[in-house]
Amino acid sequence: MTSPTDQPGTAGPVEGPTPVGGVPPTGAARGRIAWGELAFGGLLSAVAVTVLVDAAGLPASTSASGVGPAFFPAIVGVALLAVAAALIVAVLRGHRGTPDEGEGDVDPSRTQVRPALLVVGAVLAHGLLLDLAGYLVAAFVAFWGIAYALGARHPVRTPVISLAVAAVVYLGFTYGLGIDLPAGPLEGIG
Amino acid sequence: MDGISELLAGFAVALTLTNLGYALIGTIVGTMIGVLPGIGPALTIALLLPLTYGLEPAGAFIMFAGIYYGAMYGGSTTSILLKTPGESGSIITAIDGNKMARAGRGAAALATAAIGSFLAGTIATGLLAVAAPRIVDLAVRLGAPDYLALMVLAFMCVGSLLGGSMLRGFASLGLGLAIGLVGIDFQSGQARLDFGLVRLLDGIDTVLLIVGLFAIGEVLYVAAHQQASTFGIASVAGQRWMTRDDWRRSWKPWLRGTAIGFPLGTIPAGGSEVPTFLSYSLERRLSRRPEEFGNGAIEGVAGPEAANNANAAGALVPLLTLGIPTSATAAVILVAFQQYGIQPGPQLLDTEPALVWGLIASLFIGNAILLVLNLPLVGLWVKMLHIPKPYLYAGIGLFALVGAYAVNGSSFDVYLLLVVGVLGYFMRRFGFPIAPLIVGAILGPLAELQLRRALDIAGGDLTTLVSTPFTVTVYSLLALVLCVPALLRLRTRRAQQAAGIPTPDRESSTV
Repeated sequence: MTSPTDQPGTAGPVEGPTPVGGVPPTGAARGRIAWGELAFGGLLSAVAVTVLVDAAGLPASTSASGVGPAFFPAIVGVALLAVAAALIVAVLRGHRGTPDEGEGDVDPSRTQVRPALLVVGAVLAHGLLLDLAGYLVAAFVAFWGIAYALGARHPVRTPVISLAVAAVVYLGFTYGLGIDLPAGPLEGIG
Repeated sequence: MDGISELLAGFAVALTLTNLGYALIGTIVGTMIGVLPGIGPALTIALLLPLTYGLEPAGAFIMFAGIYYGAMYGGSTTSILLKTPGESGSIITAIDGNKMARAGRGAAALATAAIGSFLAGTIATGLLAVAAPRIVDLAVRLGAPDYLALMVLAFMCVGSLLGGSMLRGFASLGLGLAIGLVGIDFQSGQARLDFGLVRLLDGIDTVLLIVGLFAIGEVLYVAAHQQASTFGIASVAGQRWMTRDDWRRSWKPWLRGTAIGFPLGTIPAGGSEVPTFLSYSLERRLSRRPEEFGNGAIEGVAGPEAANNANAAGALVPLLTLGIPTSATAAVILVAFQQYGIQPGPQLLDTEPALVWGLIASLFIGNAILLVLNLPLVGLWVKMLHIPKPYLYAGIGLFALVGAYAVNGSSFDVYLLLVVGVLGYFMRRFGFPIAPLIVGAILGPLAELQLRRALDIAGGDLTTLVSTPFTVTVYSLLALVLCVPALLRLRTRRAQQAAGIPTPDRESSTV
């Protein structure tokens, strides 16, 4: 991951728990290449190329104007490619983005990978369990997983709260709002 | 169409007992969700969309009106007590508001925000009711090239004005336009960017997109970068609301904020960031004690809060009359309309008068309900903030998941939500504003429709796009708009630096 650096000209003292954003980066951080942002620029280029390739595979227009389904995607693809190229150049020249610090109590210069991956895992598990075990179980696992990742690690309290929340959401949606959520093994009981 | 009789009819719709109930529920849940840190009006509405799936359109929109203003009130409460502005419009409020709260004047800050929002919201909604029919009269005369010009203007403004870096704004916009392409082409029936996945033929659901970018992106961001599992909240227990002096210092900023916020909302000026900053710097210039700004000046809360709410009402003008969203929040409301098969535009007032005027009347009602509820219930909202952070974000995550799943009842959408959420995380991490993406994804397909309609009519002649005086005016304006904000931004930044406040380089938290 990169160290956050201010864009030139946007530096201002940042208030809050950690005044990181406004402080000039240390020498080491400044010297490093912003790989993360470059990768993002690469992703943008990839999206642009995908759009252009997809557009090239579309059949020609049948309408009077000769403007078919590929016309607008071609514009978007070319524009996005141009922006991506400009962005990569800007990043290489040291113009980096300012990470979001609006929420307070976040320090973008330090990345905790494990909790973030845990959240990803919890959401994946939610998707899998929805079909396998029904909403209640899926919601329980997702809530517990996210809460655990963010620091609620009590062995009893956290799962109990998670189960309670999952049950409230499930009952609220199915009975209160009439939105069907998969019952899973509970099918036919409620 | 003078707007007045229609508005009265709207009140007749909105004032039935059932619809009043919806307005009340909307304001309460809107405030409740909006008060949560990191959740702004756009995400609040997107998260709460599933609540309205079972309702008739009229009831649903009345509830939206409540949610919309409720979320705005909630956002200012969090900014003041917690200094976590959930959206760009509250960034300014957080500065002096939080200073006041730390100095034991949180109740006064909340009160001037609430009353100023009420006043601004009421005046601006009134202006909306007057302006909408007149703009529709003009709008029905616009052709496809004119609409396209307006949409290009909206794209450029949203891309260049939101967030601090124009390049990043346009990158975000371009991604949004690309996402908007996914699915079956409306005219030729060709599938675009579907990657062979049947689920993608209908395109990427916009609710899913918003909820993923904002909510899941936020949860991931907090998980990866949080420093503590608790918030530091300023207390308001036992404090006095506004003193006579506070009133004296607040009323003019309220009115000036309204005057700045509404007109800037009606044009695609890139959301609530610019008007709130303008109001703040104006108040400081007019103040006899400019040194108080940045240290807890009540004018610095009163003016921007009024500007923010007036701006929110102003943004409904282009949305309801032209079908053009100019902010993330307006884009979500457009989605809400589309969920009911309604496409906002000049015909909307004719085809769905009860709905539109009912919505406008509900904005008045919701505003009044909020004024009555918000101050006495502030203790309750503060309690929401005492929910431990892990549970709070787990709840946000769960609600996002259920919202994404409930649209189609398919677990595919959960995985798609995750992908979008990861994208949202990296956008935040690298300072890309999120709102342009959303506006691009929603407005892109509409712009393509107008572009192809225009070219089909003209037999493919590209000069048709600049064939009317209107288009020429708009594109000239655009050239101007791309230059002026750069100057405005420079001034805002200078003003900020003078006050020693952080530059709002992103609106990513914005929701």
